[in-house]
Amino acid sequence: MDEIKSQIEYSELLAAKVLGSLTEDQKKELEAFEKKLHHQKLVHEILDADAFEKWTQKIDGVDTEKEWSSFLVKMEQKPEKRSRVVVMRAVKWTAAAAAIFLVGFVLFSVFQTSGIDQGYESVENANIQPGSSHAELVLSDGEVVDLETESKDKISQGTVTAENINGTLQYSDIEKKSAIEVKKNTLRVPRGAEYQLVLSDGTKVWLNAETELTYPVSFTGGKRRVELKGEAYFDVAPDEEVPFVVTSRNQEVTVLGTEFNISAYEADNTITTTLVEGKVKVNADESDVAEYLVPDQQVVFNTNTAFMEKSNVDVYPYIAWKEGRFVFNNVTLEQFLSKVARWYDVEVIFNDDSIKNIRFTGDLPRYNNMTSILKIIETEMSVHIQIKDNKKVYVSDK
Amino acid sequence: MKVSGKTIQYNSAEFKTIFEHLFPSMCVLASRILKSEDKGKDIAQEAFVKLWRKDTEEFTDQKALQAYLYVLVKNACISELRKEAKHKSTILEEGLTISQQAFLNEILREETYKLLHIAIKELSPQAENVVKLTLQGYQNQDIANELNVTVNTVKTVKKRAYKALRTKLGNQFIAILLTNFFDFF
Repeated sequence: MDEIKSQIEYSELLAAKVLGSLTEDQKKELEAFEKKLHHQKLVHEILDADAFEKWTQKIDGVDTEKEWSSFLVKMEQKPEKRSRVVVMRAVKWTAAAAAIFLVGFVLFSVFQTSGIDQGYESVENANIQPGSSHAELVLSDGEVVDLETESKDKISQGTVTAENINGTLQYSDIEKKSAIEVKKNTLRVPRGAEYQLVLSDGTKVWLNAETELTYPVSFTGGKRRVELKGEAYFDVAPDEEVPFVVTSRNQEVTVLGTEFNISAYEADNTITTTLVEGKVKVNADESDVAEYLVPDQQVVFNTNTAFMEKSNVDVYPYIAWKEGRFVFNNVTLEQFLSKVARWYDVEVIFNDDSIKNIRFTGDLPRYNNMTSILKIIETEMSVHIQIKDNKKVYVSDK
Repeated sequence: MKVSGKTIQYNSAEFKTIFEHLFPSMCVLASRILKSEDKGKDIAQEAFVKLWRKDTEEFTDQKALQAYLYVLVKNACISELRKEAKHKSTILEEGLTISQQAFLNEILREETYKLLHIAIKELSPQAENVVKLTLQGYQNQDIANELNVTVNTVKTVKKRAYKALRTKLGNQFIAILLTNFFDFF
């Protein structure tokens, strides 16, 4: 990014040079730039009448008005993105900015209402596709790489390479634990997606929809630290000497080598850690109070009070997502639909609050069209469901 | 999205100005790399749509926004080149991609031309001739002889073009952004 910025700055010097308007300092700066390898040739190639003439013809061939219109059309096809942006702003903004937010909100509502003339659809006519395997990788310099199942990418960072094969991003370090500066990467999985990751120590991570994991490309020091937002299942490579630590907001989970699931969505005020194998320690950061979990145990951590509640559970419903299933044991309709909504990238709206607390138990496939799931809910729970634009699911009392 | 601390909506007049200023060069750059104007257009469009899907959506200034767009365009070009290579079933890793340095060079070219283009558009055909002759390697004296004016006139035309460029960029962006985008000038 900085390299690009400095290119933009050098272009200003070149323009000033052509127009005979360089100051003494700028002249020196440009001379230093031209001294670098290949730069003199480059500047010579750029400051060329024919090349400039060709470029002018190309730029005049771009119909910016037309492109602007198609940009607006494209943006309007993605209304859910806009709503997400507004919500995030609401969180970020301070009271001082409230007035501006109001303007933004009014604009947003106008868009919302203008779209309503299109009708609703019944569950039968809707077509909501399940999520797929894709993610965004953010490199330490801020560069963003799009990852998709079918694409094969190899990204090198120092001695570490990250290879993207069949929906899994795999890191490997040629020199084990190279002690040089540690670069951090972030794997970002949007709503309606999932992804798998193999860290440089061999730890496997399954990332659920709307999840972000930040980790060093290579682990150094006495701890293997990663940071989680959202939900992930970890299969940690054993290393007795170097504990693996997962931080989610103000909770820390410390492990030596084990399998467990953490659900830490920002929208919830709890973080749920469920242990499948091995042993883990859960504690609030900067606190000595800790809970130790053995297999088939779970801790629900309240992020506001840092209070922890330990219980024995059947782990399967909590990790079934990674096996391609939705498994719910006596959860409310609201909890169930909020999970499902993340995977199908839809918004769920309850027209009647009374039905939010209907309990639900079931085991459903994750890779089907959403219609089949909604049909089951409609018949089993006596609710009425309407769908708009395959993006909004309205649930009301029958 | 926030630029220089100011919030901008995607369908606002402010963003339209930014779009008008940045879209053509993103488009031309991608077209040049992919050797296809249609693909270049698609990639530039995609980059602008993606810009609004960025989660942090805060840019310290317009240069940061511009740099981010260039990164999006570069990444999209690379995946497009790879896709094309797959169809042709090439095995060579070279040529499928564009090196960071080559891309930076293209940015320098794009940005320089953009500035010269603005400078010329703002002024008389005489300014255009002066710029073109300068790019052909003419010294001020040669330009004066060619255009049948004095050396001082040539110098003045250049200075005026430069000043016009500064003013133009200043006005365009001061209105939008709290900090001056081209504070270098």
